[in-house]
Parts: sequence; structure tokens; C-alpha cells
Amino acid sequence: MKNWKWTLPVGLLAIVAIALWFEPAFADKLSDAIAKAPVGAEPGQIPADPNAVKGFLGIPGSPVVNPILAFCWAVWVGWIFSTVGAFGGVMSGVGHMSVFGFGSYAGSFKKTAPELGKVITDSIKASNQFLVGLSAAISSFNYLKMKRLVLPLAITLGLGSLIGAWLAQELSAGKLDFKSYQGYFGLFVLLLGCWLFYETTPAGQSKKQTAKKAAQAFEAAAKKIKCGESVDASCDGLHITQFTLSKCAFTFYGVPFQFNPLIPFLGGIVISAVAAFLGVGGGFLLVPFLTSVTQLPMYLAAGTSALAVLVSMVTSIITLLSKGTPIEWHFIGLEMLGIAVGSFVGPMTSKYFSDVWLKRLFIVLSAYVGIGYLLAGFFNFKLPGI
Amino acid sequence: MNDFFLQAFLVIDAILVAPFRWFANAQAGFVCGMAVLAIACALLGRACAAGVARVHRTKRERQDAEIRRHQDLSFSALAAKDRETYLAANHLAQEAYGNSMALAAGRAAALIWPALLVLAWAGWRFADAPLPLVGESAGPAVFFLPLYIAALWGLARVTRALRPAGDARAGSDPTHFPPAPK
Repeated sequence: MKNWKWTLPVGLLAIVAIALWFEPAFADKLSDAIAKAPVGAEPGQIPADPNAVKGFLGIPGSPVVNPILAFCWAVWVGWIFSTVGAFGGVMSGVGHMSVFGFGSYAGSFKKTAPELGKVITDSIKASNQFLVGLSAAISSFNYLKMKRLVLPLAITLGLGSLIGAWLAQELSAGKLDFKSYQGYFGLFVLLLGCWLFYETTPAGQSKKQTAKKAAQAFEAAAKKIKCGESVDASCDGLHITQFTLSKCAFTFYGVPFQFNPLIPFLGGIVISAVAAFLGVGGGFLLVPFLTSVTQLPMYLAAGTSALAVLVSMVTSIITLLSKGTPIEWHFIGLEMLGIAVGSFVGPMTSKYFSDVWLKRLFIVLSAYVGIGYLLAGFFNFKLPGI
Repeated sequence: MNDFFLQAFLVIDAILVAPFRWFANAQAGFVCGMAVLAIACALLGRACAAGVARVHRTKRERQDAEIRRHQDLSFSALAAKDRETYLAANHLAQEAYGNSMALAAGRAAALIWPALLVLAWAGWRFADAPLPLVGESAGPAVFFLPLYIAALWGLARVTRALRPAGDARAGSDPTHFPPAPK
């Protein structure tokens, strides 16, 4: 394991390459689903005309997205990433489902050709995950390279992530209709909006203020103490003192910590399963989980969660490809370019916007999108623009 | 508008396919073309990521400084065996980290978009064509991905070698390990 920082990513990429090797063999799933769909001019049917325009996934009669629109929407997503934060991932999902019309197209096959509808839903989900998760995984890789991780914890978390991501894709790929996916995605966005709102309330702010005050008080006290106090060198850094199936104990700067390895394992399963099922990253949930449950220092939590994010992403990609999920690579590439441009423009323009108002705007947006998707998905009630 | 996109696509196609015709032998031409595209994608991706990183620099430095400050504080609290302050500072560091990661997503997108577009183009260009060694059992991604990763790795090595020693140290860790408590 001496060169694990190279062998691990190379090994994971080798697995992806093997999955890609077999990709053409899986490509028939979409063709089979199209062949089973009824022919006609109504919604939920495939046009009889062999020269009908082929849009999304090359399906005759599917929505043809103007590349300029796709690019502009991706610029918006990138702008959000660079100014507001992780909410960009939600907006990328909104683009695929509502703005480009893939969602209503997939939903139109619910009764006429459910198999085709589910393949399209899987593709939408995979596109969301590629757009958000791939970037997150690449970003996490930098932290992984720094070797700042607690290996036993990373292994248990990574194993849980692998199982969670695999289970979610295995159980949902080809079985999830668009309406259900939309409903669950809406629920997730609504919960995210509620959390953002909570953070702006006095209760949410007080926790942050208490943390800030405690930190400031300590900082002030530390300045008053004269330097020169020596610390036992053996207390520096991380030392794992015990690792069993039920207990992982370590000291960091001489302070003892311990946790049950089953907790990160189960946490990894749940978080990765939710991320893979919804087609979102997962890192934004893993780090708070690690710092709150295991009380791991941020210095180590970032690297430790990075491994889990990478494992989860690779598992998701392989499982999706092995299930024959078609992916529009050129579309993802174009959107990535848009995100890069938006991310470039973001810091230049963010000075013209108030952080507080941006946060409020996204709370309102997440509430509207969340409730809208929830109603449309589970109750078949459509809000304007959803 | 459609004509414009078609013309643009034909120009891009002509550029991308050119290295595949440098050798008379089809197999050698394919490998050469894939290698050239992989290197070009790595170069373009790195250049774009560097451009985005340049624009992000002020904000990133501010966020990284915030993470570092809270981390340093949490370590000092640990050294003083003050668990409550440690947890408070750690929580603040975690919040700053979340913002930093979202910013990094833009840089990652800038790095990989050329590779994804070339992958899509290669999939279309070589659809149903038997490829060297693998025939029709695999797509061009099997050739492109390892070459692209190797190009990224090689480029990173070259960049590191060319970078002045001071810069290399500073750039190696966006959230430097804080000094041991005194």
C-alpha cells in the first residue's frame, strides 16, 4: 500500500475502462425500448416517419435542445457554483428535467412505453450525476493526493459508499419512472431549501454565532498566553491506537477520539445510496457527517470523504453503464464548458450581488422547485414552469 | 442557425480527424490520432482550468485562509485539550470547506470538458468501425481514456518541474498543514 495514492485511482479508472469496453454491447437496451414503443404522432409514441428529427439520445421525435440554450443554462449553473455554492447541482437537474423538456418527454411514455420512459429517466439521472458528481470527484482527488486521511475510517466509509451506490443503481436503474424520480428529487430540494432557511433563522444563526464566539474567545485567550510552552512531540498528529470491528480509537494532537466503525459504514451506505438514487454528488453530505458523527478534524475529514466520493462515483458509473444507461456525452461536454464559463464569470460579477439576497433568492427558488416537483411527481399537479 | 452549427461541426470534425490521417497505416493512424487528441484535450483543459483558477484566486485565497484559520484554531484547541472550542472551530472550518468545494467544481469542469466532447465525437466518428486490437467489442473510449489520463499526468509532472520551487511548495496544498502547537 506504499504507493496507494497512484494504485487506487489507477485501479478505479481501470475498472471504468473495463466497463467502457463493454459499453457497445449494452447499447441495444435503448434500441429495444424504442422498438417496443407504439408508433404514432401522439405524445408517448414514436413517429412513424423514419426521417423524423432525432433529438435527445437519438430517439426519433425526442426534444431537440438548442445548443445555445444548453450552454447558457450551464453558464447559469456554473455561476451559481462559484457564487452561492452547491445549489448549482440542483439547477443542473432542473435544466435537464424542466428547461430542456426531457422530463415531460420521459413522463409521456409512462403508460404507452414504460420501458423507454425508464431508460430516459435513468439517462437524465446519470446526466445530473455526471455533471455534478464528476466535478466533485475530481476536486476531491486533490485532497486524496495529500494523504490526509484516517485509513481505517476511509476504508469503512468507502466500503459503505460502494455498497450504497451499487444498491441504489442496481435497485432503481430501469425500474424508476420519471414521475417518481421527479417527486423524490423535489423532496430532496425542498429539504435542502428548509435547511438553507433554518440557517438564516435566529436559531440557526445562534449555533453559528456560539461557535464563532467560542473560537474567538479561545483565540483571544491564546494570544494572552506567553509562547514557549512546549508540547510533547509524541502528541502531534494522528495516531490510531485501536481498530476493531466495534471500535476505532485514535489520538489527534494528543486528544483521544473514538467511534464505532459501523456508523461510518452505515452512513456511507445511506449517503451514497441517496446521492446515486437522486443523481447528485454526495460529498456535501459526507463531510458534515464525518465531522459531526466521528468528530474528525476537518483537516482529515476532507481527504477521508474524498475517497468515499471517488469510490461512490466510480461504482455509480460502472453500475449505470452495465445497466445499459445511454449517456449524451456531447451534451455533458457542452454543459461542462458552460459550467466552466459560468464559473469564470461568477467571481467577476458576484460583487454586484448581496450574499444575503442571493441566499434568500435560492431559498425561494428551492422552495418553488421542491414543492413543484413534489406535487408534479407524486400528485400529478403542475405548477407553472415546472 | 442550423446551417451555422452544421458548418461549425464540419470544421471541428475536419480538425479532429486530421491527426488520424497522418499515417498511411490505419491502425497506426488511429493510435496517433487518439494520442494527439488526448494531449490536446489535456493541454486545453489545463489551460482553461488555469484561467478559471486565476479568476477564482482572490475568492479561493480568502476561503482557504478561512479554512486554515479555523483549522489552526481547532488544532490549538486540541493542544489545549479544549474539546468544545475544537468542535466549534471544526464546524466553522467545515462550512468554509463546503464553499471551497463548490468553487473547485468549476475548475474541474474547465479541466474535463474538452475530453468529454472529444469522447462524444470519437463515439460518433468511429461508430460501428472495427478498432485496432479490440475490433467491434469496444468503443474508442477504451483507447482515449488511458491516453488522456497519461497526458494529464505527464503535463502535471512537466508543470511541476517548470514551476519555481517557492510556487511549487505554496501550490501543493491549498489548506496547508498548520504548524505544530507551541
